Amino acid sequence: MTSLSIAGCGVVSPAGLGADALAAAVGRGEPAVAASPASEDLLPATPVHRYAGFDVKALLGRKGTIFLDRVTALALVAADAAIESGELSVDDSNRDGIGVVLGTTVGSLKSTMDYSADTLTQDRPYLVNPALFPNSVMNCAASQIAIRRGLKGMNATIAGGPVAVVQALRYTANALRRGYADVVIAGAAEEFTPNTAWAAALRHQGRAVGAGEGAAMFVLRRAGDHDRVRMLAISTGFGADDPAAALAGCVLRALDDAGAAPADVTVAASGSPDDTVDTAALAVALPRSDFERVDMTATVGDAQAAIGALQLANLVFAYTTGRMRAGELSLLTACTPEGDVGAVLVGEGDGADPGRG
Amino acid sequence: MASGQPEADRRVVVTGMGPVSSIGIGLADFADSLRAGRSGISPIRSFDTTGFPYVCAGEVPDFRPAKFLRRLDGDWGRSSLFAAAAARLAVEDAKLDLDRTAEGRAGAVIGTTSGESRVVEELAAQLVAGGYPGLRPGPIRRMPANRLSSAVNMELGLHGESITIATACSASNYAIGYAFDCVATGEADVMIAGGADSVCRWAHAGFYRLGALTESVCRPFDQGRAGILTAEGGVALVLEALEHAEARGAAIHAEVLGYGVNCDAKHPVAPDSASIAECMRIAHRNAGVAAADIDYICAHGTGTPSNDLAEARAVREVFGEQSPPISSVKSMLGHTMGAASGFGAVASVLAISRDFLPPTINFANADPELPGLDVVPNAAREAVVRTAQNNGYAFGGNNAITIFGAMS
Repeated sequence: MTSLSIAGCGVVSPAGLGADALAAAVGRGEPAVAASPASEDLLPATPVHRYAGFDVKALLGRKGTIFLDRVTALALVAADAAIESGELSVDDSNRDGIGVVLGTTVGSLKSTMDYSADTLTQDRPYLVNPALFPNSVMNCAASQIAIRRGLKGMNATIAGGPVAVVQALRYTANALRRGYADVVIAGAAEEFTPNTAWAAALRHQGRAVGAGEGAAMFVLRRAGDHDRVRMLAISTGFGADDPAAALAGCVLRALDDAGAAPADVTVAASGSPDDTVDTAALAVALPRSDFERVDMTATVGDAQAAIGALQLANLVFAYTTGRMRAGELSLLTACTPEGDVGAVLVGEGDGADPGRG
Repeated sequence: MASGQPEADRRVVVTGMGPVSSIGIGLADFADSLRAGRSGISPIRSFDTTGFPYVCAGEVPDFRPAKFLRRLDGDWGRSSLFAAAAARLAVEDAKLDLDRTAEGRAGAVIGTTSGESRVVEELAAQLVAGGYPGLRPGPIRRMPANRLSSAVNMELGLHGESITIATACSASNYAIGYAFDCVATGEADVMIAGGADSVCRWAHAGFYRLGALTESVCRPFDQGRAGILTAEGGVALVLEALEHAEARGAAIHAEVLGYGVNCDAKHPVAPDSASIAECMRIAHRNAGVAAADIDYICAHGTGTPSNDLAEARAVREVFGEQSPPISSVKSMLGHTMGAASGFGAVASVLAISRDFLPPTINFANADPELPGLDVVPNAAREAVVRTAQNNGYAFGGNNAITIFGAMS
């Protein structure tokens, strides 16, 4: 499949706005654990990886923000930042060719559960708020990005949990390859709410893993001229019976697609909340490599689909700031409990050589 | 549509279809019902309707997953079971032995609006009953929407890509489109594409409060149309490279010619006829057909005043005075949400392979605001259909249209 040029990147995480804030927190190995919100009595006794200073009105303006749920607001802020950093100006000449692809687990669990709960607790079961109905649907955030920025190209929401961002990039690469879009704003977003906090506590029973949140969006084009960083190869697969073997296969296919060798991988990052399968897969696919691992969940918690997106943003940041050099490749792996697996290989672009790719 | 030249494609054909619906489970029953114009609407049984003014939906009350599933075990939500059962039926219809498909060359793409909505609703009930500490781990495990496509891969033993696309009510067309690309570009030899959703309280309440729900009879394109009926089901199509299908001597229902997607980028719920018209043009261009080639349109046709008006205007804009027959299978099924355009795809393919137009039932009075529409009122019609267009629109302005053709 086609490789992707990264023309811009926008990040919001428990460490704040920007890839620099995230990289600094990850570099310090710092759990960006926020003070508990006012509603702390609603939260389980697990770490809170929440962007406490997230000011929706300051970042997005007052107009049209009153009904936004948190994941939509996070996605919008990341998309705005990506578009700005990519110096993408949207007008009638290009808006039909600009798409959005967003990864998620279930959209806003809080919006959906609250909506359903209202049918049980209101005086009449139908006394739900019609203005909030779209928030209960998983494509809410992606369509709000399109509405806010006037993006009329394909608009997809990929519900892949921890693998969603890899699948979103596959979907993006296909759309660019087929000419359905010229530019795609792609990534993943998740919110911290009491609902996700309790869900994470139940998923990680007995372990001190807390829910997290964040969003990372990328401005992506067909690989070509003047790109500094690329998604060189993206592969996905499925292996319920042996997920580590399936994921190792994904990694090897990605390396093969990129014409790279296992020893070229110098950094490996996981988008999985529990990276046991990833570790086993790397042991098979990269047997001799003394690559560096990046611990993202210590900083952002179990941010579900956002973990992989934030990992990618952090990997890309290492190239744009010169920490990673030509020939050094970074790898993202991810898996779901069901056996969906995916891998993305990140590396330097061709710079001023428009002929390749 | 943007610039960029698609490379030479492999041809992609539909070799199997598996509907799990209120008007029939399996292709034979579903096709009979479409031809007979049967309604699948019944009083809601899946939740307590006390206090709701309207109490009808298109449920599949006699869905028994164990009757269809061979491999999938464990604890799965209703939408995943719909998807997996539909996929199994589709593969049986295709007479496809997946063990003979090359490892990793087959996968699944499933569209949905609300994923495991019943599971989320179970959690909401636990929350109301016992607060957050009352939430149980079982439904938390069954909740992620990726499980819809995972269930298909597990049931069929597939090792290729498993992806769940959540573009609301056009999601099956998004899924069919992406699966088509995977096969056309050679990324896969076989893809299972379709959609699934389950009837739930919150959607019933939400559509009612939007003023978009009707009491018990869905009348698309009728002057007296008053809204949708929520519905459920699962649907899957086997999309296969023509060379792969021919090599195994498969019977071919129809060919997938292409698709178009775009976004209104305007309003969370109100449809935009200009944007829908543009989506039709994109679909025609990508499929290499002209508007005049379309013999039948399987409408999005929800039965709300605003959808049907926007859709009719878009059809008029693209097709002019002489638009082809356009009917809504939602008049029979209700609105199956993420599965809806998948059922539309099956209806479109059946129109091509079995030479009939599915009817719009419950049609009484033509709407002067929708002039010149042949909605195939109330009774199926014999017709030769070479090329069919299957419309899907959604909340968030996520339009997606697929085009199917007779095998030449």
